[in-house]
Amino acid sequence: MSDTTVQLEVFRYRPDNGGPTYQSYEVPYHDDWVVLDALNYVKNYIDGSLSFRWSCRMGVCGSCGMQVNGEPSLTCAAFLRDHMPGPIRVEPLVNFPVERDLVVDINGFMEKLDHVKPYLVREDDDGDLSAEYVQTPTQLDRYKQFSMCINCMLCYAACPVIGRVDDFIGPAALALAQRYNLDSRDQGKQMRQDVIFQNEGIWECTFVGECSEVCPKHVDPAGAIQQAKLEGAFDYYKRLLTPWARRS
Amino acid sequence: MNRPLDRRLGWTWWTRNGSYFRIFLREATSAFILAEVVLFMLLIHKAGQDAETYLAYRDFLWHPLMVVFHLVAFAFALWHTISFFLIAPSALPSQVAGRRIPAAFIMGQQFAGLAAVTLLLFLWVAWVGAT
Repeated sequence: MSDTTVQLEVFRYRPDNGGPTYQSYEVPYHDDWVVLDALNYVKNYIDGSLSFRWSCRMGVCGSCGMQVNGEPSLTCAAFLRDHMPGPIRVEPLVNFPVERDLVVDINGFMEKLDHVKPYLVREDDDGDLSAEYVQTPTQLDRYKQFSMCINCMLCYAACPVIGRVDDFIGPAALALAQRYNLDSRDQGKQMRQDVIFQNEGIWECTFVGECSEVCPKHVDPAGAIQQAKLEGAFDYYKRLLTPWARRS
Repeated sequence: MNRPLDRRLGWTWWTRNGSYFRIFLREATSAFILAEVVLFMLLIHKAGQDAETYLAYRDFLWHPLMVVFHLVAFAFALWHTISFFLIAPSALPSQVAGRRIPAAFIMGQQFAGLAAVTLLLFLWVAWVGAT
C-alpha cells in the first residue's frame, strides 16, 4: 500500500436528496494510477454509493468522460501524477443533465447522433450482408481521422455553443456526418446535408476549437465542421450559378 | 422524483479558463477592425469636403490617444490574422487531387501572401510619397 495519498473532491448529486455538493475522499497515490482507478478505490473501499460510468479502462469505449480539475477528460487516461499534489476535483461532464453523481444523461446526444445517420447508406442496399464495397488507401485517408471518434462526448462538454443552443447538433455528430460524407462507399450525403446544413448544424459552430483540443483521439471535429462549411458554401454558390444543373 | 441537474456552460463560458478567454478576445478583435473601417470611411467622406474639414479630421486621427488606439487595433488585427492562418489547415480539405497537403505548406503560403501584399503596399505608398 502506498504511503502517499491524494485528495479527491468528487461532485455528488442525488436527485432525491437536495442540491449538488462536493465530497472529499483520501485515496492512495500510485504513480501509475489514473483518476478512474482512484474513483474505483472510493467505490470499492470507502463509499459504495458513488455512481459513475466506466467500462474498458483503455480509452476505447468512451464511457468514463468527466471533468478533471475543470477539463473534460477520459478518467482512464488522466493520471493522478499530472494533477499532484492535488486536490483533484472530479465532476460530471458539463453541458449534460446530471442524473446522479458523475453520471450524465446522454439521450440528447444519442438523438443528435441518430439524425446524421452515422453509418454507410447505400442506394443499392438489398439487404445482402455479404456485399463488399472496396476503396483505395487514398480514399480511406480522406476520412480516416474523423472515423476515430469513440463518442466519449468530451467535445460536447468543451463546446460553449452546446451550452447555449440546445438544438446544436454538436462536434462529434457533425464530425461523423463529415466522416461518412467523405467515404467513397457512402451514398447518403444528400440525406445528411439536409440535417447538417440547417441552422442548428454546422452554421452554429463559431470555431472555438476546444472540441479538437480535448479530443482524446485527435479527431479534430472543429476541422471537420469547417470543411463541411466550406463544402456547403461551395455547393450553395454552385447551385446559384448553375441553376439548371441537377442537384447531386 | 428524478430531477436531472442542469450544468450548462451558459453565457459566462469565456470566463472559465484562459483558453476560452483568448478565443473570446480573438473574436472581440473584430470590434477594433470595425472601428478602423468606420474611421477610414469617415476619412474618405471628409476628403470629399473642404480642405479645412479634412485637415481637422486628419489631425484628430493623429491625436496621441488615437495613435494608441490605432496601434492596439493593429496588434489585434495582426493577432487575429495569425491565429486565422494557424487554424486554416484544419478547415481545409486534407487532400487535393488525391494528395495530402501538409499543414505547414498551407500556413506558409498564407504568411508568404501576407508578406508579399504588405511589401507591395509599402512600395506603393513609398512610391506615391516620392512622386
